[in-house]
Amino acid sequence: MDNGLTDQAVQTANNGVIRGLRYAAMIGIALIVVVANVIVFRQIDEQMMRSNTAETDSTPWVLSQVEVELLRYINALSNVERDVLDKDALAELRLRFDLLYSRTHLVASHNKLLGLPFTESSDWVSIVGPSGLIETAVPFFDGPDEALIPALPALFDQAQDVAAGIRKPIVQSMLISLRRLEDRRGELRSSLQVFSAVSLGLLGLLAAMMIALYLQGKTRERNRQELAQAVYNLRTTIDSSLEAAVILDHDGRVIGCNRAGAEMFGWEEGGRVVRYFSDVVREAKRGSAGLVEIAEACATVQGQDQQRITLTGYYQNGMSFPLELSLAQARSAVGLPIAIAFLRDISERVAQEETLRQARNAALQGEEAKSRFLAVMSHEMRTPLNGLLSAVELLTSDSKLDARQGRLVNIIETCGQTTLEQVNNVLELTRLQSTEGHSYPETDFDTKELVENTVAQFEAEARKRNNRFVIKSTGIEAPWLRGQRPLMARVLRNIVSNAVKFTDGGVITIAIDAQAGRASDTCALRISVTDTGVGIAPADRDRIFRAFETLDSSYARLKEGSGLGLGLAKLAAEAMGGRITVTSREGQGSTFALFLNLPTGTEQPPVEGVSTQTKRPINPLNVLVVEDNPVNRELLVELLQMKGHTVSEASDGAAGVEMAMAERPDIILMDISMPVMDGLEASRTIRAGGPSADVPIIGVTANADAEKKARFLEAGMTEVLSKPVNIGDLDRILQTIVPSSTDKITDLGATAPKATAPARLRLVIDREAEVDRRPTQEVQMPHIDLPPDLPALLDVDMLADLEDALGPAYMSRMANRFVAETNETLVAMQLSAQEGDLSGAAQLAHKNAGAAASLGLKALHRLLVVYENQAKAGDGGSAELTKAMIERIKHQSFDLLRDRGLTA
Amino acid sequence: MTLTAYLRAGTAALVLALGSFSAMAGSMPEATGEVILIIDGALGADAPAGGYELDLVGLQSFVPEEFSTSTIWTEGSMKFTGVPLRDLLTAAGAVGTTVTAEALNGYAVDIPIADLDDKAPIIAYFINDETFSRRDKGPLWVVYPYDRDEKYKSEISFAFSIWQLQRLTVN
Repeated sequence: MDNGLTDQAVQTANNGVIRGLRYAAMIGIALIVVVANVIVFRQIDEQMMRSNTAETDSTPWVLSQVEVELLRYINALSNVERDVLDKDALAELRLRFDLLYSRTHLVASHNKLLGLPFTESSDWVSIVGPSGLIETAVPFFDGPDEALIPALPALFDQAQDVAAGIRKPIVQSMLISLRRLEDRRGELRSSLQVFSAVSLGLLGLLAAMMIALYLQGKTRERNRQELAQAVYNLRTTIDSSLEAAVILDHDGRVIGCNRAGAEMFGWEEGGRVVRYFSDVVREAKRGSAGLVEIAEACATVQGQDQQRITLTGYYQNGMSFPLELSLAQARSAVGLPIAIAFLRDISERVAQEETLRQARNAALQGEEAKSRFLAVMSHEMRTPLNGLLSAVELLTSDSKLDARQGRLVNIIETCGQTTLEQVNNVLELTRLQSTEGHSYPETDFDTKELVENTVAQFEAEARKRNNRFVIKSTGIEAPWLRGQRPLMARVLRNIVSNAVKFTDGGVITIAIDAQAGRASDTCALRISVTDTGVGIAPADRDRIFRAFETLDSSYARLKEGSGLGLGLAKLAAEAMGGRITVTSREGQGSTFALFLNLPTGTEQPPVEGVSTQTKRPINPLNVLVVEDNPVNRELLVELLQMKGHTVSEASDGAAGVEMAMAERPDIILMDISMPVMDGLEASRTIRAGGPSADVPIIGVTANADAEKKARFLEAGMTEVLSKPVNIGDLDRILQTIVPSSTDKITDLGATAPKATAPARLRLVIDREAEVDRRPTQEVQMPHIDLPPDLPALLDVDMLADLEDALGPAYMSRMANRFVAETNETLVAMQLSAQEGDLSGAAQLAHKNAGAAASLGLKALHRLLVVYENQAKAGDGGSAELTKAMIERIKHQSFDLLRDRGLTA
Repeated sequence: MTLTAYLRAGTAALVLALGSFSAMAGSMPEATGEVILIIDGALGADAPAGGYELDLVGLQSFVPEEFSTSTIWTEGSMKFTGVPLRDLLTAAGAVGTTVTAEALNGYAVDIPIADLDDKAPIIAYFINDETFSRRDKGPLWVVYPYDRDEKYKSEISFAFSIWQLQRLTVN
């Protein structure tokens, strides 16, 4: 647009210059022609004048008359009688003489005639010269007749002589005169010819100019029509555009608009009302700066998107609407910067976007709710299931059961195992499907060892079905790889499990093939699991990888399949950037193959694990178990006692510290997450001094990755055990950590531990225990009369973990509900207490305490518990004091929730 | 100025007054001196059979016309005094369309009467207030005021300008 206008201006200027030059040339030529004409005309006029005067035309006449008069004179002379006085003849003679005299006098006095051959000749001199004809005769003619007559003969002779000679010079002079005339006519003719030529030239020039003017006129007319058409087209295009176009000058004034623009703002079309763009668009500012800002905004804000920017416009009735603007800069005819703004009302689009956004949010919320439901349900189911299975294990290992009881217990265990597997699968599926779920730390592992471990897990079941495992390895021997080992283990476990389930009395071959990968330091790994089982029909080969798909529900039930195993394996493989393929022949078996490209790892020193476990019996020990969850605690105590250890129990960190101070145990098993005082702080306190300062402390946690383990060790713990704790691990720990202490307690080793070998013992996982406890955020208590042992206001890490697990939106709702509930509950508690219903107040406090704990509001929880106890005990006065503290802490707690953005 | 000049001027003035009177009376003055001009041809009924004969005094009895001009035949400008041809013809009661002017040497030219202006040409009898002789284009010369008007500088005017005029014939 810019260039176009400039070019046009330049062209217009050029046209102007050319036109000016053309005019100047025309005027110049016309002037030259006119001057030439004037000069030629004057010349002709002069010549004509000379011709008019006819000065010389009479020369031949005048000259010839001299001769005529001379001859008449001679004739008159000859007519005079010599003897008689003839008066008439004499008068005639006198007249003739006078006329001759007159002629010669005329010639002599006429300058123009002098210089001719005649007037130069001697004959002329003989007429008018001294002693010439005239001079000689005059005295006689002036005298009387008597004197004249005698002189006549002499006069006659003289005249005769003169007459004889003058004819020739007169004719010569006449010819010369005629030639002069001829010359003058020639001059006149050539002048006339020049004049004609010049006139013809002028005519030609005029004709050429007329043609040029005609052509120019035609061209101009055509240009004018083309321009008019172009303007019309442009105008029509702009006017029929649905997009409003508004032309702004450099001050942001509207100087033009198309029909859509006029309609958009209710302007008269083509109206000349002075108005500013800022009157109708909020972001526009008056003055040139406003335009520049808009232009800059267009250029920078959305430089990648055709310089479009969204603004707010106003209709004539004051209603605002979203407006999309794109700005083109140009120059006006006089060279001032102008801008052409293309505007579009995008209300509809914005509304659509809003609808879409809401729909998406709703969908996301639904999805989120579903995921959370699954996660929570799985969690809630897994905890009691773990308890159930642990109890069954203890029952089978420690009780004398008859055959029927044994069978029933076996059924319970099998059903429990299946249920737990289902739940675990659902959890894992949820975790893998969520975008941020599958983030296991990468570690170096021995692929072959991983396969062997997996196979070992299914050895027993395989044996039940008379199946045999074969492990083959090709390519790189014993490859160490780096990757998410739990995912690898999950894939292997699921496809091996699948093979075992669907094969009876066959061979399950696991082939490891590790080759150097394309990139350096990578390994292309292929692990295939081939069975000789029932196989899969071709039509079903895609379905088997879908979640909850089972090929034959009746059969699957028999085979205890959740239908999730292969789907999980696929998801896990994909999470590692690999894939799983299946080939199968019905009735002959299937082959599942895992393809992975992983970086090569470095060989790690062998971990002291189950394999290094010595078989020597463990001496009975004094074990202090610090665990707040009663079920977990009881199961752990049961397990230890089964091994012949003496166990003392503490229900929280503070109690544990107290007991450790009172009596030195051989080893302390410490839960990490506990009320009152968590495991880390308890460990620190114990290490700080006292009889148990050097006793090994084993942290028991559900979540022990390397980073957290380092923090636990830093707090003074000796080793960390992962939940669920199995007997093997516990034995190993007890043997390795306290070898020196065995001697001391040999006397106690009365009963040999029953080695119920690799059976895994699950401990009930306390939900709270899964929360990693980092050093808690200490909040200064503003009042001295708060109990000194009041815990921190908020367990930040716990809350953060909850937020991670449940999502901020859910947490926000929960927090808001909690705030409302707490306010209501505290009022209700107050009312109940005033009415003397202390037990009712205690119940209210109890309920609220649980809610506070679930959000990690530890101080509030603690005070509510204190209140509950005081109310239960009927100590209304103390409860009232506690209530006051609760109110204070409540506000601080709410503030914290608000600071975290959970409540408004 | 000499005594004769005064006398001549006085006589001229007297003659002029008488001539004017006689001219106005419609009759031509009769020649008492040497006849220098004859007017004949188609004249009024009053005209004598041989036409009018005029001498210098007779010509001078008409209202004189004077102008100074150069001519193509003479050097320098000269003052001419004479009778307008038209006045003369009117006085003679000419009824024709042309007048033939004849010179002493026989040269004659036909002048259309319609082409005559009121005051031009004149039949000059004085050049520079003096008569002029036959030897010097005298005694009468048909002269136009050539310098006054370009139209008189034409071949026709030059042709009509005859000197040594002796006769006017109306026809």
